[in-house]
Amino acid sequence: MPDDEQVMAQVREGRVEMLAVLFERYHVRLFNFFLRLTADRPLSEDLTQELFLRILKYRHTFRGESKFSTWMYQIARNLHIDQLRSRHPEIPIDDLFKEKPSTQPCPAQNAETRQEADLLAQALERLPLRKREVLLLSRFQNLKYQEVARLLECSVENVKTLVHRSLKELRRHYLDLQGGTQ
Amino acid sequence: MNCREARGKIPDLLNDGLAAAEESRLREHLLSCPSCREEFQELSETWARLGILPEVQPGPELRRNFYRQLELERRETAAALRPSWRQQWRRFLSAPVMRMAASFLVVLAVFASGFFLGNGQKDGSGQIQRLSREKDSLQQQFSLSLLTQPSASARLQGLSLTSRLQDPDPALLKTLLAMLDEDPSVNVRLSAVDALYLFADREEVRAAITASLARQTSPLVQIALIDLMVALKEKRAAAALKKLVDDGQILPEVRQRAQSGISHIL
Repeated sequence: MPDDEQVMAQVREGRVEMLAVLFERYHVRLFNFFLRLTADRPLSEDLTQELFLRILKYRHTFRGESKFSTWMYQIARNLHIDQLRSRHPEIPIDDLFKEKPSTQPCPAQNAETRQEADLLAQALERLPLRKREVLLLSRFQNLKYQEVARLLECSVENVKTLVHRSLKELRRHYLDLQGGTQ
Repeated sequence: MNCREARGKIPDLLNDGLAAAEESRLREHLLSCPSCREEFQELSETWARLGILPEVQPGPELRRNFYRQLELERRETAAALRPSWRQQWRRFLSAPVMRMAASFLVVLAVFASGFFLGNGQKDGSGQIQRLSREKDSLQQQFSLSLLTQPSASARLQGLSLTSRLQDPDPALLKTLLAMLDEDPSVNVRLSAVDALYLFADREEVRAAITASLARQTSPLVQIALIDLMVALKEKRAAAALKKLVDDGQILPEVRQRAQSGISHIL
């Protein structure tokens, strides 16, 4: 199997149809990445679609100096930030990364029907964006901490600290939600 | 290892992994320190629990829109970018299999030059053409040999190699089409759909793909083929899609996709 970088090199040289290979490898994972970031299914489909269009549009900027996945997630993050900006133009972008109150209904309202996965998804939603991102990238997108650090423009040690804190906070939210169901 | 160091290493154990010696030091510490052990258990349990979040499948429109857009881009690029002979040559030489072929050619060239010198033959053009043909077919033969392997992963590798071919010969195309219809592995059949997409500008490939739709039994392959028909705007596929819509045995998702495919094609 050609690796991602070899396939992308062919796309860059004009065999744009080869992007189908990368689409098949990544589109479900990317859709889930956006879905966990935005909790909005139609928006996540649009963002995934737009991501592949941007890859096509900016294919000449992929130089093969970093891994394709790192380059792709950089575009994904930028897209998400652009989308946040367009929805909340009045809010400074840094504030969007701060903790926000959960938009989910009170757990007690529909405690009977909630499944464990739903609780966890809600707990994840309660994390501030940066903590959510770091978990999504390292746990679900299988990126090494080094790659996550490059994406978030911080040190590897910072990423590890962030993973540590995010997991603790996630666990707290999860237990809180679970307590509300009993 | 002290507690601070140990806690700093826990994320490594969860994701990237640690060198054996370091991992064993960390585990030693965890055995002897109840507080760090508890911390580790909490974090690893939460990390593992995240695995229960299901992978959600996007709606069919995403794939359909992507392939439609890609087809448009492919046509535009093909029209705008007729690669220069220099680019084609570079691409040709950069393929790993061609590096193998190049080594093969050096050996052949040594023999050939010996032959010409030894025989005093003046006209070597026939030999050179033969060598060139051999060079062209080597890549195809290599792909073909992988495509006929009993292992599915070897066949998948063969399929991905075909993407490097500019001009596959009829035998190779025939094998690809046979794989689409008959390969026992669904993954291989799905990859055959992708591989054939690259050669879908050929009339015979389009016709064979269209005919294959009626022979497919896996819903995944059916959906991939429907998407391909839609991306190619293959009007002749409308009848095959209609058959799927009318088939009482077909999965509702496939029927729905076929139905919507018809409206996009026509």
